[in-house]
Amino acid sequence: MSPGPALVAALLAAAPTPPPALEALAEQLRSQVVAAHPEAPVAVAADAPSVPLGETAATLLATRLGESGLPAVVIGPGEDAPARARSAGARSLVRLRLEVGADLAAAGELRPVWRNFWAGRTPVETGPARVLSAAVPVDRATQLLAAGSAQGTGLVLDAVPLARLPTRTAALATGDLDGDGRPEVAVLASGEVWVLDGAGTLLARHGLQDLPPAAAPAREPFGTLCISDGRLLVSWARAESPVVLRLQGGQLVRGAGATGPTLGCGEASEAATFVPGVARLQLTRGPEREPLWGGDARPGHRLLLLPDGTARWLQPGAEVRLLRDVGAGAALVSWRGEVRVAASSAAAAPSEDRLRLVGTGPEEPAVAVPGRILQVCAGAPGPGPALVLGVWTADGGSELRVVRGTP
Amino acid sequence: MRRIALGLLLVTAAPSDTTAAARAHDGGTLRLAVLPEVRADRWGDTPEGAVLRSLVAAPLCHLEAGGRVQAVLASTQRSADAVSVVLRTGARFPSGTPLGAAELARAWTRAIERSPVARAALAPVRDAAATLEQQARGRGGTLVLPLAHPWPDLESTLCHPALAPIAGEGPGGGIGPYAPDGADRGRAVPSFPDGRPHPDAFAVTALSRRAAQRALETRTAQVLLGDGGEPSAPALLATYLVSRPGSRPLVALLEPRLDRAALVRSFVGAPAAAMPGLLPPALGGPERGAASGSPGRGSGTAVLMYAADRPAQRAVAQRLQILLRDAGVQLTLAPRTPEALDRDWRTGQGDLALRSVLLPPAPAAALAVVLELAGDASASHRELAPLGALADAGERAARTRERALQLSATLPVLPLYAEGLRARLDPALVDVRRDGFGLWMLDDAWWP
Repeated sequence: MSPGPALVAALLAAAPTPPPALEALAEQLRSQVVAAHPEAPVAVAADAPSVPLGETAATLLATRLGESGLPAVVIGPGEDAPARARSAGARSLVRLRLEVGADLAAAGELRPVWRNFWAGRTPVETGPARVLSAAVPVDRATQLLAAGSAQGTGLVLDAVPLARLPTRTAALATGDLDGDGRPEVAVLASGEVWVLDGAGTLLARHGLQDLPPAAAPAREPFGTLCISDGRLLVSWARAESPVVLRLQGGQLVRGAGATGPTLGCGEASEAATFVPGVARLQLTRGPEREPLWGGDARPGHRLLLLPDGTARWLQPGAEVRLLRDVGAGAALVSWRGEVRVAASSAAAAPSEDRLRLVGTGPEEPAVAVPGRILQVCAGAPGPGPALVLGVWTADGGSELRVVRGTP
Repeated sequence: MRRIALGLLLVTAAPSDTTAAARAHDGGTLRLAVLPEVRADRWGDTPEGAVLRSLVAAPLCHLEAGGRVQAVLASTQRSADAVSVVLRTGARFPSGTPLGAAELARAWTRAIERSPVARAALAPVRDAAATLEQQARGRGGTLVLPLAHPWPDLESTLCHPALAPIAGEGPGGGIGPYAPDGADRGRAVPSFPDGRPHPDAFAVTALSRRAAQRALETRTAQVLLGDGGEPSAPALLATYLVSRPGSRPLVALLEPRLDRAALVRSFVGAPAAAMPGLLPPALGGPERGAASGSPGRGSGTAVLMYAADRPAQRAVAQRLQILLRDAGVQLTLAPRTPEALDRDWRTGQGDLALRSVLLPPAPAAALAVVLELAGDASASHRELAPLGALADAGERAARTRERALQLSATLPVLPLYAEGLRARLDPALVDVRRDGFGLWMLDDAWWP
């Protein structure tokens, strides 16, 4: 069980007024279960269109059974529910399936999970099963719980952009620049570095137009940014040399120790160079020397974005994984304790792009984003796992958008 | 069967190098089909000519549709009573000569000799000719323009294509994302300050209208200049009939006979709008003219100069000839090349002239061009100084529109019509936008 739905379920169960329809459904089911006099404790497993709805229904029923003097625990739904019920110490199991239409309906069974010793290795649950069923008119709150489900482990785009810029973004980074422990967002756009706070308010701007121009500048806005130890490392593909900036007294001040562009940021970062005249990076070490759209590096992980719209994901102790349909906006992100690839699509100049989270499992939560995603960066300000996106809009400007994990 | 279908799906869904394009695809040749009159507009005075010319002669800056100025060859800095044009390092002529303040000053000295738009744009500069002459001898990368009066629109008007820096007397020799490679081709310049364009080259073919349309349909051309266009885009190529003081009675005879809407419909063609006021409707000028008196009659002869290689001007000149003949006036048509038209008119030739100018998209700066066509420098200064003193853009625009209405009765400039960019694009082209002048910016164009 992921912490998000558990939290919702706990909050809903603890709330003074749970959704009335769910409350009514739980009451019907409670009376049916209590009437059957099952052996305590009872495990409750509910399968629903959404994880939060299932969790909430199971938690509510368990709470009501407890109030009726029948101790109950909540377990996740699934084929192996009886085994998990047994290992949770339960003697009976309520298995329910919830459906949300015009009515909120629940159907299932109550049965003991005592195993017949004489059955040997064949796991045969014995004892009479009792059919449970209940239906109540659905209400809005329950519908919401059921709908939130489609995104149960998904992504949500913040409705309002964090910031709008008149030109296109070349690079994006998050990190603490002012030492207050909260992340700032740094953007490279149109030969300027912008630093914004978590609310999108401009903290400082710094022009790079005075830097000696590159011999063959890239036409597309392109560069790398990295916030490390309170320093902002800036490499712009239209300038000959990189710079280091510090945020001091509300101003970005140049310092010493500039290094070139990198793949990723921090200890695991890999040195790279700009390919002259095009928006491409090339690693300076290692066997992979082909031009890249970009990429990312984290301890043990490396992501290489290839200009054919594929990506190579090097994972610790695993084979290199080839990802298809990955655009220039892609990064390695820590997502609920797991390293994943947040990837835009490789479609040619779409009016609406798609950001998806590629993990080890088969499911890839995705969210549609208007515009073209060119940068993806973990560590967006605000609660929960979140990403900042640099999105190019049709008017030649760009937006910083935030994508969050659904709770 | 299903497995085969799935395999096919995977193959088609897997992007290959030619289709994947989250970033721009480099390479190929950008193919432009242009009508003969666009080819003939070597100085880029028309919107179509300006789009074509910008490939090899970039303006100092891009004025975006929203009004923002984006540096291309130079950025600007404003002080209390001057604007400094700071040239970008890396901007070089095809000969290798870097663009310095001296080169820009010399280019502008020539520009104000041939273009009323350039004269109007630099009119707020104190002793523009002398200032440029002095700085043409200097060194360095900053051209300082001291202002004769406040002029908040100067930075945006410096992006006008007429002020694109050119080395030498001819229309070639600009600094563009492409360098000319023969008469009809250009190749990408790797050191262009904004980066080399995505295609490796461009190729221009002059075709008849029908052949050009077919070239676009069959995708042998990606850009067509001279045909098509969008009515919603700003129409800023304004055409006026300017007159000598002695010829004002002719204009008074012409005005009641003039049906601008019919003129546009029959002789100019879309995208264009009738322009009854000194400012075009796109800049908030009136869309309907005041009712004029009954047509009177006169006599005598007059000479009307017009630009020979602009088909619309020729047709309109012939129409005006007929209208004045009905009024009893014998009008002689005198075709000129665009450069000769400006020079000859300023040296006193002709009684009337058709003048087409690409107006800046700010009303006050556009009125400056109209006043320049009227030809009275001191009157211009009198009008423009109080407008420039209004720092608020909205207030300045409103006051300018008011003044334009009042001035239309007295200026020797009769507004006729305003045209927009006539162009079509292959829908597969990516990252082509219109600038504030309504021109396509082809610099960033690419295709998957």
